[in-house]
Formats: sequence, structure tokens, C-alpha cells
Amino acid sequence: MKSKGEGKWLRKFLSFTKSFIVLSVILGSEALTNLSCTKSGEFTVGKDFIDAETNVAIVDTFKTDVSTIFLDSVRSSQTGLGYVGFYRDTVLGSINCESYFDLKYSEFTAPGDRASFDSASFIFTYSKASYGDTTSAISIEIHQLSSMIAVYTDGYLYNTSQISYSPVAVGRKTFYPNPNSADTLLKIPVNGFGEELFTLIKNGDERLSSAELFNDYIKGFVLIPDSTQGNSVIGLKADNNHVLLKIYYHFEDVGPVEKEISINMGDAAHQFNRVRSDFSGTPLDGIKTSHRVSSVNTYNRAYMQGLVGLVPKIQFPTLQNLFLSSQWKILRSELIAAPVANSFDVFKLPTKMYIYDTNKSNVILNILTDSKNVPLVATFNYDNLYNEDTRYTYDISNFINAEISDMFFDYNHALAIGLSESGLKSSLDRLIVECKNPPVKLRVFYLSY
Amino acid sequence: MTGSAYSQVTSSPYSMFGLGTPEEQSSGFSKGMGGTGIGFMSDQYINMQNPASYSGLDSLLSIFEVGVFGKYTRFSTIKENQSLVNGNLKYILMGFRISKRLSTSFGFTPYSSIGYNINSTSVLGGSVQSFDKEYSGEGGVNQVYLGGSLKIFKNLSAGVNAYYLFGNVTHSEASSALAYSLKDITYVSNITFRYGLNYHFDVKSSNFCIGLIYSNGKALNTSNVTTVTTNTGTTELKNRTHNYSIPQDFGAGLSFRKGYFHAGVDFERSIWKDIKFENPLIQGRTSNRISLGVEFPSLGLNKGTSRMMFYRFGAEYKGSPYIIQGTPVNYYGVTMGAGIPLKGVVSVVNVSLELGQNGIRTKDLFRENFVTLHLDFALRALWFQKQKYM
Repeated sequence: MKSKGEGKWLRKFLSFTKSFIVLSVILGSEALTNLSCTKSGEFTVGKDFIDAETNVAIVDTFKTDVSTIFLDSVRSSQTGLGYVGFYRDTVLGSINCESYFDLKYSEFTAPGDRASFDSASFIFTYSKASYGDTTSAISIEIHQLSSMIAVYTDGYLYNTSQISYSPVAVGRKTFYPNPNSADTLLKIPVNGFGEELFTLIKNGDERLSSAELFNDYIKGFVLIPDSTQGNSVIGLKADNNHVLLKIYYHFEDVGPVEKEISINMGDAAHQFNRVRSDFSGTPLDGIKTSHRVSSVNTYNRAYMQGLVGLVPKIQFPTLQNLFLSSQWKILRSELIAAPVANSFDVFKLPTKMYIYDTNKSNVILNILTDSKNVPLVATFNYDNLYNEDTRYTYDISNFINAEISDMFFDYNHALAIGLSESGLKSSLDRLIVECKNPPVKLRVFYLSY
Repeated sequence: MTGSAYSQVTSSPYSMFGLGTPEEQSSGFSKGMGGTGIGFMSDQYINMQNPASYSGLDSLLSIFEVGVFGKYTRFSTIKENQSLVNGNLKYILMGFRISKRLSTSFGFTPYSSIGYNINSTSVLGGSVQSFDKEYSGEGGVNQVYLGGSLKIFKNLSAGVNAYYLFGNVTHSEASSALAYSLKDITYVSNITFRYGLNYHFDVKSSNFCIGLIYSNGKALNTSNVTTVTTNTGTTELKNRTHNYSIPQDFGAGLSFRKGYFHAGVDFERSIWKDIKFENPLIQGRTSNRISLGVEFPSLGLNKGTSRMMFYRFGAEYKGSPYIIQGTPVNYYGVTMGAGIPLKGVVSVVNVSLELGQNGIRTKDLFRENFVTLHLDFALRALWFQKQKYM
């Protein structure tokens, strides 16, 4: 009787357990499928007594050491832009720009004995980029090079590259530049040189029989400003189609029908600008290339100018203090730099500013990029009403987070703000960074928990 | 402003405190009677409120009960109203008599639940700006229990439920604007007990039953996993702890039965006063629960058959387990229900509707008004007995 009773309970228990499991699964899965759709709208009830575990604060008291780097050299060839002019002001002294190029060889057809030379001119087209007082007359000379343009082993030429040229100008022009006019061309007469070349063409001279001989005979040209006239640098389009040497002639017996020979600019790799600066009498007086001058010694300013090779460098001397506490993370880091008030009347503020990393040797390393590997461009805020909130803001979170990831912040791994990689070598855009009022700020969004 | 949200276990913003919103331990019939059950001993249903009640289980019946609920809640502050619909499995219970003196029950039911989702803003320190921040909580404590009841004398039974409590308390904070999130999970577990006594006696043709229950308070075992995720990755935070305890609890109940008419009252007291809440705005206090309920059949009080329907009514007051900045979040509710007999596997469906209110609208607090539909499916012995005779 007892054992029968035990068997009954066991069966009862087993059947219970079976149905328990089956029903649990059915009900459980039903509950999940029917009721698990979560849609949280703007649900704000209860916000008043949340005991938050995290706080985010902006900390912008990290010190920044700002200085100006004078780059050893700036690559300036193959930009399609030629600069010629002389500009001087009290801010950064003087800039002297010379534009170099050579001519393209093509087989010349002799125009015949009755052809008669009229005139010859170099024809240039203005680019939009000009600096300084373009309403005053300037004077430009064109000289023939006495050595051929040869690139460095890296294939480029630099703002410091020198090519010797003949002291005697083949052409000269004094004029009022009109850089913003799209259809005005700059013509520089080179009649003496043109007539000589015309004669060679007419005679089928051997020196014009091949590219090698031609380029050995006409090695190239340089546009040189007269530093005593005017105060501007003008930009010219410097490519095969926009730099032309034209020789005009006519046939004596046919009447007034003008003919021309047109020679284009040569190798784009040989086109470059030489830019010399003289900081005498300015805060940067005495700066050596590859060196930096602290903004403390330059009236709390740091300087940027493209082809001149000036780049503001920013270092973070106190960021190491972050590691004093352990319960934190950096959510976002911003670098904010403002231009010196009223410093951008002549040189307009660049709207697109980029940022690079640099090292102890003041060499520009890499352009900083965002998470999509696109070069990081500063958000430019232009306060044209009060001129107080004009500033550049960089999101340098990736840089800072990478720097602190090993719990050590390298003071010498610094930042340099500047133009784009192409802008650096092809413009004279200038920015003077205010370093004291307000200082260049590192703004850290700091999560603590 | 009106918003609505649908979510799984999401219960209430009040569930952000402590272990979450404590869940009612009432089941089946008791849901329709304002949760009154301490003094009840039923042969038809499992009454896990008082483990001594299992002695009432019929020797021929084995009972299996499943409870589910659906709840519509309307939250109102002084400024705004928002509503939410949620529902879930409430319990799975089994009970049967093992021998003449010994009965057992075991099952699964939540102890507390956490579910909230709050959009807020937070001040960006050191600036005048603020940023959007979302707070959410999930989890809660579940319990599986094994209970036994011993009939000591004809009229006196004693019982105990041994619970294994397990679950997690999870609070999250996130800002999509600042691309970070923190998830703080505390896993909790422990074993606790609820003791019960039941004594019933007859006065003329009426039957009275007195019930007593007691649970000891206890700190739960905890282990914490907190992670912070930002653009640079996820970090696990060491050495974080949160302490959670369940309160000491005792209660007394009285029920009266004449024929098929039932009535009862409960009084229960939970000593939350000794329990520390981490939120500085919250302070535990002693919470009292008072409820009463009646049950009567459709066919008149004395003409009972196994197929008759029961109607139930009840009311309940439950004092807040804590005060928020001096204000308690008290609960008031009325219930009505019915026990509907069915032919087939499920022998009875207990349906009950609870109209309740939680908290008050003040400057900082909000009120919850809710309607909860409880469904309890009771499977009785016949199903199993059929197998027995196959």
C-alpha cells in the first residue's frame, strides 16, 4: 500500500513537471514575442529624482604653450599658381615672391623669307589670389634663366629653391594690377628676345631642332618684382594654357594680316615660386628655420603664413595632470584658436584651417583626420558683427585620446595649425593667432563617474 | 505634453529605487480580493502568501497555476501626462498534498521589477550648456520557492517557503550627443524564508481562519559589473558595489467563511526603515499594508456546484516603503474579479481587474493611475488523474 502510494506521487510529480515545463515555455515565449516591443518616446516622468552616476564637465583650464615654427622649407612646385610681388608690413616684415617656369618645345615651321617680326609678349592670366595693396602700380621684370630648372630627387622644388638667372631683363612692365578681372590679361612685352627667337625660327636654326637643344638655349624665365614699387603680391595662373609667349609677325607682300607664333609654358613640375621673407623689425626677427619662437616672446601672438612657412605650434604642458585621477574619460577634446583682433584686414582669414602633428624638431608630420580618415577641418565661426567670437574650433578628440591611451602625455608630440596641404604650398594666406586674450584653449569634455 | 511607451517589463519610474518595485505576492483568487490572503486556506488554489495554507489543498487535487498580467499606467505630474502599457508573466505555481499531514508548493514569481526609461537633460559642468541624457533601468529580482506545510493538529498548520532570490539591478545612463554610456549591473542572490501559521475554527456554521506570516530581512549577495563605453572603447570599472537588502516582514490575516461566502482582512508590516537607499533623496520607512476582500458564488451562497462562478471584490492600501524628500508614495487600489469555471485542461480562469493609484502629484513627484488585468489559469487534478487511470 505504501509503495503504491509512493509510485502514485512520483507519477504525479513527473506529469506536473512535464506540464510545468511545456506551459512555461509556451507562456514565456508568448510573453516575450507579444510584449517585448520597447518604444521609449519622450518619457520624462521621474527625471527629478534620478541619482546620476555620471557627470560631464567642460574643462578648459589646461595650459597651452603656443609658439611659431619657421619651417625649413615649403614645397612650392607644381601648384599651377605663380606669385610675383613684394609686400611689406610691420606685422611680418617683407615677402618677396618670384615665379619660375620654362617653355614647352614644339617643332617650329619657318614662316618664310617675307615674314617680318612685329612684336613679342608673355601673356599671363590673373588668379584670384592676390595680396596687399593691388590698387597701386607695381613693376615686374622678366629674366631669362641661366641654368635649367632641375627638381630635387623627391621631384619637387621649394620656396627656398634658387635658379640663377641673367641680370639683364628681357622684359619689364609697370602696371596697375587688376587681379579680380577675369578677362584682363597681363602682357609683358619681350620684343628684343622675341625678335631674336623669330630670326632663329625663320632661319631654321639648329638650336630649335629638338627639345633638348631648345631647353638648353631657352632654359626658362623668372618673374621678379621691383621691391621699390607698389606693395602687393599678385597671383597668376601658371599652367600650360595660361602662360604663353606670343610672337607676332606679318608678311610684307600680303598686307596687314597679322600672324603669330605661340609657345606654351613647359613642364608643370618645373613651375615653382621662390618666397623670401625678411622678419627684420618684427617680433619674429632672428627666427631660424626649423626653430620656434614662443608666443610669450612675440607679444602673445603666433603666426601662420602659407608659402612663407610659418606655422603655429601648440603644446599641452599640463595634460599629464589628467592621470592624477582614475575615474574619468575624455569624451571630446576641442582646440579653439582665435585670430588677433583687427589682424585680417589685408590678409583675409582663411575659412578652411587644418591641423597637423609635429615633433620636437618642428617638422610637420601628418595631417590630422577624423574617424573617416578625412582631413580634419576647423569649424570656422566668423563674428562679423562684434568681431569677438571669431574663432577656429578643431575636434581633436582622436589625437588626445590616442595620446593619453598609454597613460602618458608626450609634451613634444604637439599640434600645428595651418592651411591644407595644397594651401600651404600654394597660398600666402595668413593667420595671426591670439595667445593671451583669449589664449588658445584646449576644451575637454570630461566624463567622471 | 503627452507621450506613451510600450515596453516589456517596464513598470514605473519609481522602480529606479532599491531593488525596484516590490511585487505583490498574492495569486489567483486573492488578486480579486485586494490581495487579501494571509488568513485564507483554500483547497482550490495555491496561496503562496501564507505557506501554512498549503495544508488546505485537497488530497485529490493537484494544482498548477499560471498568472499573467497586462497593465495600463498613466503617469501625471503637475505639468504633463504620459502613459505606458506593459505586461508579462506573473507567476507559475504548483501545489499538492504529499501525505495526510504534509503538503507542498513550489513555483516561480518575481520579487521586484525594474523598468524605466527617462529622457532628461544634464548640465555640462563648467558651462551654461546642457546635454540630453537618457536614463534606463531594467532587471529585478526573481524568486523560485519550495514550500511545505505541516498539519500539526486538526486545526493548526505551520508552513515555510524557502526562496532562492536571484536577478539583477541594472541602471544605465547614456548620452548620444556625447557618445557615451554607463551600464551598472548588480547581480543579486540569496536564500530567504517565509514562515506561516494557520489556525481555523468553527463558530456554529461559520468557519474562521487566522493566519500569521513572518519573513526575516536579509542583505543580498551582490556582485557588480559596471562598464563605461565611449568612442575609445569599453572600460570595466572595478571595485564598485551597491548594497541591497530585503526587509523584515510580518503580517496577520483573518478570514470568515459561511457556505460559499468568503471574506477576509490582511494586515502586513514591512520594515523598510532599516534599509538604506543609495539615492540621497530616498529614505526607507515602515510600510503597512491593509486589505480586505469578499468572494461569493453566482448561484446563491449555499447551492454550490463545481461549475459555479465566483465573484470577488476587494480593496487595498499599501504604505510607501520609502519617502521621497519627505513624501511617501502610497498605494490605493480596488479590485473586482471572477473565477470562471471551464471545461477542459484549464479548469478555472480567475480574472481580476485592479484599479490603483500610486503616489501623488506634487511639485517634484508624480502619480501613477493604473488598470491591471490579471489572468490566472488554474489547472486542477482531473487532468492528471485521467493519466493516472489510463
